[in-house]
Amino acid sequence: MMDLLLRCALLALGLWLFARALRGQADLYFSGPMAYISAAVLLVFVCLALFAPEISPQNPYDLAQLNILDGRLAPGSSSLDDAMVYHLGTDDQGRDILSGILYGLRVSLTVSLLTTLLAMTIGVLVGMYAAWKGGKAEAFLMRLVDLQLSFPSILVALMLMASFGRGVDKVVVALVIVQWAYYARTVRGTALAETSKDYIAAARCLGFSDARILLRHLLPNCVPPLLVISTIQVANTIVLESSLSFLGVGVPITNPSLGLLISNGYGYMLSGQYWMSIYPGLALLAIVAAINLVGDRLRDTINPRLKR
Amino acid sequence: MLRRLAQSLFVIAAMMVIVFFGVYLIGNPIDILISPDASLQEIEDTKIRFGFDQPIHVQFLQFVGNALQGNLGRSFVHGESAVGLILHYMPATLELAMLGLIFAIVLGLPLGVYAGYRAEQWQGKAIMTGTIFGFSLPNFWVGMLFILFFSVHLQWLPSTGRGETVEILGLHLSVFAPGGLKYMLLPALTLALYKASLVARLARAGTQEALLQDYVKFARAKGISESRILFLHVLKNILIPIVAVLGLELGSMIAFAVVTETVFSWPGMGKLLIDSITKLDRPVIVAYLMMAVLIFVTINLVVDLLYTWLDPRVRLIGEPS
Repeated sequence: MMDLLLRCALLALGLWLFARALRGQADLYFSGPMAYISAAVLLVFVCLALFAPEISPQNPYDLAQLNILDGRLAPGSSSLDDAMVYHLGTDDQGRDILSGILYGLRVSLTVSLLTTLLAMTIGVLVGMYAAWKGGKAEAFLMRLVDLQLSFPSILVALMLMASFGRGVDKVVVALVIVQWAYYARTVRGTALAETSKDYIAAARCLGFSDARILLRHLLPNCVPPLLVISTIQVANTIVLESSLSFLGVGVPITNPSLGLLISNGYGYMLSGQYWMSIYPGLALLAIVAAINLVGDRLRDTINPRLKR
Repeated sequence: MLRRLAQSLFVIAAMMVIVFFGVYLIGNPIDILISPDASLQEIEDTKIRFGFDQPIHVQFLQFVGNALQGNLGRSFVHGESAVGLILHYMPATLELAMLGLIFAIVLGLPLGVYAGYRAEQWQGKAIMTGTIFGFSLPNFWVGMLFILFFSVHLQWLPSTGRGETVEILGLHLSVFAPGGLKYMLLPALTLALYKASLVARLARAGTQEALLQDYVKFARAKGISESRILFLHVLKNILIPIVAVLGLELGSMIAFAVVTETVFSWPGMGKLLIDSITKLDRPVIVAYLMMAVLIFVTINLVVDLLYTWLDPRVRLIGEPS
């Protein structure tokens, strides 16, 4: 029960953040059908992931509920004991693909949201510190960011995962290491522009401590551009994580994300049993496209001058 | 210029330190070098043979010395020198990345220019929405769909492998082999899709800006056809930044080839890397990493230099302006 309440609270928090990001510019955001469709799709997927245990026909990781004789059934066939219909078919273990997708969605979204949150925190701290301190510290930190960004994210993540081994926590750590630099660079840019403004000078004259100026005055003004990147980064993270899992260096088998589901079904695709990878792939495509579309609209709404 | 070169060398040196401490010290290399049932004496012998009994700075200097001579150890699985193995697989990856880049330009550039020309009409908006899907589609999933549609359903193109190669300048390439190109089409197209979206977005932004310039008005006043203005005059002016970005993207093409090569079983160095990771073939992983660093640093350097050469207004860091 507590758990359910917590998930409802999370959903409310997400909706509140979205409303805050729009800041009364909702009609500017909701222009054209794509804006409605993408926002609706995203909302549906988030709800599906949050309430997967309540919605999904079976718990795909409860081995007692699985029947190996139901393995590799085509979409629409019913189980051996006629207890349920597998609308999207089953995998080689007799797992309902629909339930697998719902639970996989949870893993994918959890990993990407957690990664984005952590990477953003680190990036904001580093970026603001660099902009505030200036001098040698700034030069060093920004060189580090440049160095990191000159290597493709997938390669760095692959290398880290190769030395870490599989695991949800390890994927998050690797992806945070890959992504903090984006935030650091953006925040430094914004913070540099903001520090030269009068309100910071005023705060300094009032004798506020550095920490107070940074956190109470500078930080809130660095957030809007961050919201846009973080939305798009969530989508990028989902793709990156699913690619790692597809390559076999991502999340473990016991906790499959959408990418791992696709990878598991890949071996059967050439023999015509397409449903094991195509449906998780469609889910992945839908959620990533929805997030990207929402991010795109958000960018146009919040800051029309900001270009990718 | 010298400063820029020194900077690149510094990056390589820094990566060497990271790789050395990351790969050679965290895991115990002895465990993977010899069988688990080796006797104590054998372990000691191997330690001495590979120099693991030496203090750490001596080991590091040895690693650097070997690396400078192009020696990064021997593959456990293949029994060949790791660098040689990478070099053997590299041409396949490079030709795939190059063809992918060409596809990206051929697909993305016209679409982007047209989207910029019709930015406010539905055509432009449709292309922009299309690029978002191009960004969203995971590389491996596109590859799978291509295989499902073109290889399994239509049976037009082969799904995996590399096909024939011809030897040109000592390299085995598929592009020029009569039976090889059809093996390349699907993987290269898969690889190109993401970059094509990127090119289209860049080209659109550039075209929108260029259309406001005086030379376009002048060309229109002269009565030059719209398509000629777009694809001759405008294209020429927006090309430089796009080429620069694409140069940098070549590196990421090579990196993303890891995924595409795995889907299509393309025998390039990306697939070699994944196989080495699953088989814990550590020297090959290290060799791939060092090679990748070398390639990226070189690409960055070349693009920087080309950029200053193409556009003299750009100054390298540290140079007096």
